[in-house]
Amino acid sequence: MRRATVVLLSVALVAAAVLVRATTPDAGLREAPFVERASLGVTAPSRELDVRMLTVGVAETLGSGDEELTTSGVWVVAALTAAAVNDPTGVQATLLVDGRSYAATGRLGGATLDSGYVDPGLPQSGVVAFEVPRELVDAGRTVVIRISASSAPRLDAVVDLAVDLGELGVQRSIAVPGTGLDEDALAEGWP
Amino acid sequence: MSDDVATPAAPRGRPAGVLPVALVVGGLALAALVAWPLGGWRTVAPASAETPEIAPGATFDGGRFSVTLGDALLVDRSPAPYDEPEPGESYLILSLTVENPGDEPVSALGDRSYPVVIVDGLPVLDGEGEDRAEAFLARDASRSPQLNPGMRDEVLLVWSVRSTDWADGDELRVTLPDGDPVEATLYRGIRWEDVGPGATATLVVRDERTVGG
Repeated sequence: MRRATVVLLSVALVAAAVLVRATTPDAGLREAPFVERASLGVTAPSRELDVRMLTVGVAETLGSGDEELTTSGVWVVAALTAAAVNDPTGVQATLLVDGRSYAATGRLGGATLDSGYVDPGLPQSGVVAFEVPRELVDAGRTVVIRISASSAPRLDAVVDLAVDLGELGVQRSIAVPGTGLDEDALAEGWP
Repeated sequence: MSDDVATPAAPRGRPAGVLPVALVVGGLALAALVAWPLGGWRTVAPASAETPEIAPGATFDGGRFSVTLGDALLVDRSPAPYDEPEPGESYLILSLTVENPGDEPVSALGDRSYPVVIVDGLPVLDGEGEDRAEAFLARDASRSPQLNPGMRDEVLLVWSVRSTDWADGDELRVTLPDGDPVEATLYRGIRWEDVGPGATATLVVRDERTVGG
Protein backbone atom coordinates (compact mmCIF):
# COMPACT_ATOMS: atom_id res chain seq x y z
CA MET A 1 0.00 0.00 0.00
CA ARG A 2 2.77 2.34 0.99
CA ARG A 3 4.75 1.50 -2.14
CA ALA A 4 1.72 2.18 -4.36
CA THR A 5 1.27 5.57 -2.71
CA VAL A 6 4.89 6.48 -3.37
CA VAL A 7 4.59 5.45 -7.02
CA LEU A 8 1.36 7.39 -7.46
CA LEU A 9 2.83 10.47 -5.83
CA SER A 10 5.92 10.27 -8.02
CA VAL A 11 3.83 9.99 -11.18
CA ALA A 12 1.70 12.92 -10.05
CA LEU A 13 4.77 15.07 -9.37
CA VAL A 14 6.26 14.25 -12.77
CA ALA A 15 2.93 15.05 -14.44
CA ALA A 16 2.75 18.35 -12.56
CA ALA A 17 6.31 19.21 -13.62
CA VAL A 18 5.45 18.48 -17.26
CA LEU A 19 2.32 20.64 -16.97
CA VAL A 20 4.24 23.55 -15.45
CA ARG A 21 6.93 23.26 -18.13
CA ALA A 22 4.34 23.15 -20.92
CA THR A 23 2.42 26.17 -19.68
CA THR A 24 5.35 28.41 -18.70
CA PRO A 25 5.03 31.66 -20.70
CA ASP A 26 7.87 32.28 -23.14
CA ALA A 27 10.00 35.42 -23.04
CA GLY A 28 7.75 37.16 -25.55
CA LEU A 29 4.69 36.67 -23.38
CA ARG A 30 6.45 37.43 -20.09
CA GLU A 31 7.69 40.76 -21.44
CA ALA A 32 4.71 41.60 -23.65
CA PRO A 33 3.56 45.21 -23.64
CA PHE A 34 0.23 46.32 -22.19
CA VAL A 35 -1.98 47.11 -25.15
CA GLU A 36 -4.41 50.01 -25.28
CA ARG A 37 -6.71 49.42 -28.24
CA ALA A 38 -7.36 52.57 -30.23
CA SER A 39 -10.08 53.61 -32.63
CA LEU A 40 -10.01 56.48 -35.08
CA GLY A 41 -10.66 59.90 -33.62
CA VAL A 42 -10.57 58.82 -29.97
CA THR A 43 -7.65 59.59 -27.67
CA ALA A 44 -6.03 56.44 -26.33
CA PRO A 45 -3.96 57.00 -23.17
CA SER A 46 -0.81 55.08 -22.39
CA ARG A 47 1.86 55.44 -19.71
CA GLU A 48 4.03 57.89 -21.64
CA LEU A 49 1.92 58.97 -24.61
CA ASP A 50 -1.63 60.06 -25.33
CA VAL A 51 -2.38 59.09 -28.91
CA ARG A 52 -5.26 59.92 -31.21
CA MET A 53 -5.23 58.11 -34.53
CA LEU A 54 -6.84 60.29 -37.20
CA THR A 55 -6.88 58.31 -40.42
CA VAL A 56 -5.05 55.63 -42.36
CA GLY A 57 -4.57 55.37 -46.11
CA VAL A 58 -2.77 53.24 -48.68
CA ALA A 59 -1.01 54.74 -51.69
CA GLU A 60 1.38 53.85 -54.45
CA THR A 61 3.51 56.95 -53.91
CA LEU A 62 4.09 59.56 -51.22
CA GLY A 63 4.25 63.23 -52.09
CA SER A 64 6.69 65.12 -49.91
CA GLY A 65 7.50 68.66 -50.99
CA ASP A 66 8.65 68.44 -54.59
CA GLU A 67 9.47 64.77 -54.25
CA GLU A 68 7.36 61.76 -55.13
CA LEU A 69 8.58 58.74 -53.19
CA THR A 70 7.95 55.40 -54.87
CA THR A 71 8.24 51.94 -53.36
CA SER A 72 8.45 48.37 -54.60
CA GLY A 73 5.28 47.67 -52.57
CA VAL A 74 2.73 50.19 -51.35
CA TRP A 75 2.72 52.82 -48.63
CA VAL A 76 0.51 52.54 -45.55
CA VAL A 77 0.23 56.03 -44.09
CA ALA A 78 -1.30 56.93 -40.74
CA ALA A 79 -2.05 60.42 -39.44
CA LEU A 80 -2.10 60.84 -35.70
CA THR A 81 -1.81 63.29 -32.85
CA ALA A 82 0.44 62.49 -29.90
CA ALA A 83 1.38 64.22 -26.67
CA ALA A 84 3.75 63.12 -23.94
CA VAL A 85 2.29 62.45 -20.50
CA ASN A 86 5.15 63.29 -18.13
CA ASP A 87 8.42 63.91 -19.95
CA PRO A 88 9.40 64.71 -23.53
CA THR A 89 9.52 61.44 -25.43
CA GLY A 90 10.00 60.03 -28.89
CA VAL A 91 7.21 58.46 -30.91
CA GLN A 92 7.88 55.00 -32.32
CA ALA A 93 5.67 53.38 -34.92
CA THR A 94 5.59 49.74 -36.03
CA LEU A 95 3.20 47.86 -38.29
CA LEU A 96 2.50 44.27 -37.23
CA VAL A 97 0.88 41.43 -39.14
CA ASP A 98 1.26 37.63 -39.13
CA GLY A 99 4.16 37.70 -36.67
CA ARG A 100 6.10 40.10 -38.88
CA SER A 101 7.03 43.64 -37.96
CA TYR A 102 7.48 46.50 -40.41
CA ALA A 103 9.49 49.60 -39.53
CA ALA A 104 8.23 53.08 -40.27
CA THR A 105 10.14 54.68 -43.10
CA GLY A 106 13.05 57.00 -42.55
CA ARG A 107 12.98 58.10 -46.20
CA LEU A 108 10.84 61.14 -45.40
CA GLY A 109 13.53 62.65 -43.20
CA GLY A 110 12.10 64.96 -40.56
CA ALA A 111 8.63 65.09 -42.09
CA THR A 112 7.24 62.26 -39.96
CA LEU A 113 6.05 62.35 -36.38
CA ASP A 114 8.41 59.55 -35.37
CA SER A 115 11.46 61.60 -36.33
CA GLY A 116 11.26 63.91 -33.32
CA TYR A 117 10.00 64.35 -29.78
CA VAL A 118 6.67 65.34 -28.33
CA ASP A 119 6.24 67.33 -25.11
CA PRO A 120 3.82 66.92 -22.23
CA GLY A 121 0.53 68.70 -22.75
CA LEU A 122 1.45 69.86 -26.26
CA PRO A 123 -0.18 67.52 -28.77
CA GLN A 124 1.60 67.34 -32.12
CA SER A 125 0.06 65.94 -35.25
CA GLY A 126 1.90 64.25 -38.06
CA VAL A 127 2.20 61.10 -40.09
CA VAL A 128 4.01 57.80 -39.97
CA ALA A 129 4.44 55.72 -43.12
CA PHE A 130 5.32 52.09 -43.82
CA GLU A 131 6.49 50.30 -46.95
CA VAL A 132 4.72 46.93 -47.16
CA PRO A 133 4.34 44.29 -49.88
CA ARG A 134 1.29 44.90 -52.05
CA GLU A 135 0.11 41.35 -51.36
CA LEU A 136 -0.94 42.44 -47.86
CA VAL A 137 -3.43 44.89 -49.37
CA ASP A 138 -4.55 42.57 -52.16
CA ALA A 139 -5.22 39.84 -49.59
CA GLY A 140 -7.20 42.26 -47.44
CA ARG A 141 -5.09 41.59 -44.34
CA THR A 142 -5.85 43.25 -41.04
CA VAL A 143 -2.72 44.89 -39.68
CA VAL A 144 -1.94 46.61 -36.40
CA ILE A 145 -0.29 50.01 -36.27
CA ARG A 146 1.49 50.21 -32.91
CA ILE A 147 2.52 53.54 -31.38
CA SER A 148 4.85 53.54 -28.38
CA ALA A 149 7.43 55.67 -26.66
CA SER A 150 10.11 53.01 -26.96
CA SER A 151 11.29 51.07 -29.99
CA ALA A 152 11.26 47.84 -27.94
CA PRO A 153 8.43 48.23 -25.45
CA ARG A 154 8.75 45.54 -22.78
CA LEU A 155 6.16 45.48 -20.02
CA ASP A 156 5.21 48.99 -21.09
CA ALA A 157 2.06 50.48 -22.52
CA VAL A 158 1.50 50.73 -26.28
CA VAL A 159 -1.37 51.98 -28.40
CA ASP A 160 -2.59 49.60 -31.12
CA LEU A 161 -4.88 50.49 -33.99
CA ALA A 162 -6.25 47.57 -36.03
CA VAL A 163 -6.63 48.43 -39.71
CA ASP A 164 -8.40 46.28 -42.31
CA LEU A 165 -6.35 46.96 -45.43
CA GLY A 166 -9.07 45.33 -47.50
CA GLU A 167 -11.38 48.23 -46.69
CA LEU A 168 -8.91 50.84 -47.90
CA GLY A 169 -8.53 51.48 -51.57
CA VAL A 170 -5.06 52.06 -52.97
CA GLN A 171 -4.73 55.73 -53.83
CA ARG A 172 -2.30 56.83 -56.49
CA SER A 173 -0.58 59.23 -54.11
CA ILE A 174 -0.83 60.70 -50.63
CA ALA A 175 0.65 64.11 -49.95
CA VAL A 176 2.52 64.23 -46.66
CA PRO A 177 2.41 67.69 -45.09
CA GLY A 178 5.67 69.05 -43.73
CA THR A 179 4.20 70.24 -40.45
CA GLY A 180 0.72 70.26 -38.98
CA LEU A 181 -2.36 68.47 -40.19
CA ASP A 182 -5.89 69.62 -40.85
CA GLU A 183 -7.48 67.23 -38.40
CA ASP A 184 -11.05 68.05 -39.42
CA ALA A 185 -10.26 67.29 -43.05
CA LEU A 186 -8.47 64.09 -42.15
CA ALA A 187 -11.52 62.83 -40.24
CA GLU A 188 -12.94 62.16 -43.71
CA GLY A 189 -9.84 60.23 -44.79
CA TRP A 190 -6.81 61.22 -46.86
CA PRO A 191 -7.60 63.88 -49.42
CA MET B 1 44.15 -38.71 -1.47
CA SER B 2 40.88 -37.59 -2.50
CA ASP B 3 40.25 -35.47 -5.59
CA ASP B 4 37.53 -33.86 -3.73
CA VAL B 5 39.55 -30.74 -3.06
CA ALA B 6 37.48 -27.81 -2.04
CA THR B 7 37.46 -25.19 -4.75
CA PRO B 8 36.55 -21.65 -3.94
CA ALA B 9 32.88 -21.05 -4.54
CA ALA B 10 31.98 -18.69 -7.40
CA PRO B 11 30.64 -15.41 -6.14
CA ARG B 12 26.90 -15.32 -6.05
CA GLY B 13 24.91 -12.68 -7.96
CA ARG B 14 25.74 -11.07 -11.36
CA PRO B 15 28.61 -12.48 -13.44
CA ALA B 16 31.81 -10.48 -13.54
CA GLY B 17 31.91 -7.94 -16.38
CA VAL B 18 28.18 -7.23 -16.45
CA LEU B 19 28.47 -4.07 -14.41
CA PRO B 20 30.94 -2.28 -16.74
CA VAL B 21 28.87 -3.24 -19.78
CA ALA B 22 25.71 -2.01 -18.08
CA LEU B 23 27.43 1.26 -17.19
CA VAL B 24 28.60 1.81 -20.77
CA VAL B 25 25.22 0.91 -22.29
CA GLY B 26 23.42 2.99 -19.70
CA GLY B 27 25.70 5.95 -20.33
CA LEU B 28 25.17 5.72 -24.07
CA ALA B 29 21.43 5.49 -23.61
CA LEU B 30 21.47 8.51 -21.33
CA ALA B 31 23.57 10.50 -23.80
CA ALA B 32 21.20 9.59 -26.61
CA LEU B 33 18.26 10.68 -24.49
CA VAL B 34 19.89 13.98 -23.57
CA ALA B 35 20.83 14.62 -27.22
CA TRP B 36 17.21 14.28 -28.28
CA PRO B 37 15.83 17.61 -26.99
CA LEU B 38 19.10 19.33 -27.92
CA GLY B 39 18.59 18.46 -31.56
CA GLY B 40 21.27 15.79 -31.81
CA TRP B 41 18.95 13.41 -33.67
CA ARG B 42 17.74 15.94 -36.21
CA THR B 43 18.28 15.10 -39.84
CA VAL B 44 20.62 17.55 -41.52
CA ALA B 45 21.44 17.96 -45.15
CA PRO B 46 25.06 17.15 -45.91
CA ALA B 47 26.99 20.35 -46.47
CA SER B 48 29.58 20.67 -49.15
CA ALA B 49 32.96 21.96 -48.07
CA GLU B 50 33.18 23.95 -51.28
CA THR B 51 31.49 27.32 -51.62
CA PRO B 52 29.37 27.38 -54.77
CA GLU B 53 30.23 29.91 -57.47
CA ILE B 54 27.27 31.75 -58.95
CA ALA B 55 27.10 33.73 -62.16
CA PRO B 56 26.54 37.49 -62.40
CA GLY B 57 22.79 38.07 -62.51
CA ALA B 58 22.09 34.92 -60.49
CA THR B 59 20.18 35.02 -57.21
CA PHE B 60 21.52 33.63 -53.95
CA ASP B 61 18.97 32.86 -51.25
CA GLY B 62 20.78 33.27 -47.96
CA GLY B 63 19.17 33.21 -44.55
CA ARG B 64 19.08 36.96 -44.06
CA PHE B 65 19.03 38.24 -47.63
CA SER B 66 18.05 37.04 -51.04
CA VAL B 67 20.54 38.78 -53.32
CA THR B 68 20.66 39.12 -57.10
CA LEU B 69 23.99 40.42 -58.32
CA GLY B 70 23.91 43.32 -60.75
CA ASP B 71 26.64 45.44 -62.28
CA ALA B 72 29.99 46.65 -60.96
CA LEU B 73 30.60 50.15 -62.26
CA LEU B 74 33.38 52.67 -61.98
CA VAL B 75 31.88 56.17 -62.11
CA ASP B 76 32.76 59.70 -61.16
CA ARG B 77 29.32 60.68 -59.87
CA SER B 78 27.77 59.39 -56.68
CA PRO B 79 24.11 58.34 -56.63
CA ALA B 80 23.71 60.93 -53.87
CA PRO B 81 23.07 64.27 -55.56
CA TYR B 82 25.33 66.37 -53.34
CA ASP B 83 28.25 63.97 -52.91
CA GLU B 84 31.38 64.80 -54.87
CA PRO B 85 34.48 62.61 -55.15
CA GLU B 86 37.71 63.88 -53.60
CA PRO B 87 40.43 64.79 -56.13
CA GLY B 88 41.98 61.60 -57.50
CA GLU B 89 39.06 59.46 -56.36
CA SER B 90 36.24 57.72 -58.16
CA TYR B 91 33.24 55.71 -57.04
CA LEU B 92 33.01 51.95 -57.38
CA ILE B 93 29.35 50.95 -57.39
CA LEU B 94 27.95 47.47 -56.97
CA SER B 95 24.26 47.13 -57.76
CA LEU B 96 22.27 44.42 -56.02
CA THR B 97 18.63 43.48 -55.89
CA VAL B 98 18.01 42.59 -52.27
CA GLU B 99 14.98 40.96 -50.68
CA ASN B 100 14.35 40.56 -46.97
CA PRO B 101 12.87 37.06 -46.46
CA GLY B 102 12.70 37.45 -42.67
CA ASP B 103 10.09 38.65 -40.23
CA GLU B 104 11.83 41.84 -39.10
CA PRO B 105 13.13 44.93 -40.88
CA VAL B 106 16.78 44.78 -41.82
CA SER B 107 19.37 47.26 -43.02
CA ALA B 108 20.05 46.67 -46.71
CA LEU B 109 23.76 46.69 -45.81
CA GLY B 110 23.40 44.12 -43.07
CA ASP B 111 25.93 44.56 -40.30
CA ARG B 112 29.51 43.62 -39.50
CA SER B 113 28.61 40.10 -38.38
CA TYR B 114 26.40 39.39 -41.39
CA PRO B 115 26.78 41.91 -44.22
CA VAL B 116 24.78 41.65 -47.41
CA VAL B 117 28.00 40.97 -49.36
CA ILE B 118 31.74 40.97 -48.76
CA VAL B 119 33.96 42.28 -51.53
CA ASP B 120 37.64 41.33 -51.65
CA GLY B 121 39.95 44.28 -51.23
CA LEU B 122 37.24 46.71 -50.17
CA PRO B 123 36.33 47.77 -46.64
CA VAL B 124 33.57 46.10 -44.74
CA LEU B 125 30.17 47.57 -45.31
CA ASP B 126 29.55 49.00 -41.88
CA GLY B 127 33.07 50.17 -41.24
CA GLU B 128 33.58 53.50 -39.56
CA GLY B 129 34.81 56.85 -40.74
CA GLU B 130 35.61 57.42 -44.38
CA ASP B 131 36.80 53.89 -44.93
CA ARG B 132 33.43 52.36 -45.51
CA ALA B 133 30.80 51.67 -48.10
CA GLU B 134 27.51 53.47 -48.25
CA ALA B 135 24.20 52.11 -49.47
CA PHE B 136 21.54 53.88 -51.47
CA LEU B 137 18.18 52.89 -52.87
CA ALA B 138 18.58 52.92 -56.63
CA ARG B 139 15.10 54.35 -57.11
CA ASP B 140 15.76 57.70 -55.42
CA ALA B 141 19.19 57.55 -53.76
CA SER B 142 17.70 57.27 -50.26
CA ARG B 143 20.71 56.73 -48.01
CA SER B 144 21.14 53.67 -45.73
CA PRO B 145 17.85 52.03 -46.71
CA GLN B 146 16.00 49.54 -44.57
CA LEU B 147 14.06 46.67 -46.09
CA ASN B 148 10.84 45.56 -44.47
CA PRO B 149 9.89 41.84 -44.54
CA GLY B 150 9.02 40.64 -48.02
CA MET B 151 10.26 43.84 -49.66
CA ARG B 152 12.63 43.63 -52.62
CA ASP B 153 14.49 46.60 -54.00
CA GLU B 154 17.56 47.56 -55.96
CA VAL B 155 20.37 48.78 -53.72
CA LEU B 156 23.60 50.48 -54.73
CA LEU B 157 26.71 49.90 -52.64
CA VAL B 158 29.20 52.69 -53.14
CA TRP B 159 32.89 52.81 -52.25
CA SER B 160 35.21 55.77 -52.69
CA VAL B 161 38.35 54.40 -54.38
CA ARG B 162 41.55 55.84 -55.77
CA SER B 163 40.95 56.50 -59.45
CA THR B 164 44.05 54.60 -60.49
CA ASP B 165 43.34 51.51 -58.39
CA TRP B 166 40.57 50.18 -60.62
CA ALA B 167 40.16 49.97 -64.38
CA ASP B 168 37.76 48.62 -66.97
CA GLY B 169 37.79 44.81 -67.05
CA ASP B 170 39.09 44.36 -63.50
CA GLU B 171 37.52 41.50 -61.59
CA LEU B 172 35.53 42.01 -58.40
CA ARG B 173 35.35 38.99 -56.11
CA VAL B 174 32.10 38.97 -54.17
CA THR B 175 31.18 36.66 -51.31
CA LEU B 176 27.55 36.23 -50.31
CA PRO B 177 27.25 35.19 -46.67
CA ASP B 178 24.81 32.67 -45.25
CA GLY B 179 23.95 31.76 -41.68
CA ASP B 180 21.50 30.12 -39.32
CA PRO B 181 18.89 32.16 -37.45
CA VAL B 182 18.46 31.49 -33.74
CA GLU B 183 16.25 33.18 -31.18
CA ALA B 184 18.23 35.87 -29.40
CA THR B 185 18.40 35.77 -25.63
CA LEU B 186 19.67 39.24 -24.75
CA TYR B 187 17.11 40.98 -26.94
CA ARG B 188 13.91 40.14 -28.76
CA GLY B 189 14.42 38.89 -32.27
CA ILE B 190 16.86 36.88 -34.30
CA ARG B 191 20.62 36.57 -34.12
CA TRP B 192 22.74 34.75 -36.66
CA GLU B 193 25.01 31.79 -36.02
CA ASP B 194 27.55 30.00 -38.19
CA VAL B 195 27.78 32.90 -40.62
CA GLY B 196 30.10 32.01 -43.44
CA PRO B 197 30.45 32.11 -47.21
CA GLY B 198 27.26 30.90 -48.89
CA ALA B 199 28.32 31.59 -52.45
CA THR B 200 30.93 33.53 -54.36
CA ALA B 201 30.86 35.34 -57.68
CA THR B 202 33.22 37.22 -59.93
CA LEU B 203 32.00 40.40 -61.56
CA VAL B 204 33.79 42.38 -64.25
CA VAL B 205 34.12 46.08 -63.56
CA ARG B 206 32.80 48.39 -66.25
CA ASP B 207 34.44 51.82 -66.41
CA GLU B 208 31.82 54.50 -67.07
CA ARG B 209 33.89 57.45 -65.95
CA THR B 210 33.80 60.44 -68.18
CA VAL B 211 36.85 62.15 -66.68
CA GLY B 212 40.13 60.84 -65.28
CA GLY B 213 40.36 57.09 -64.77
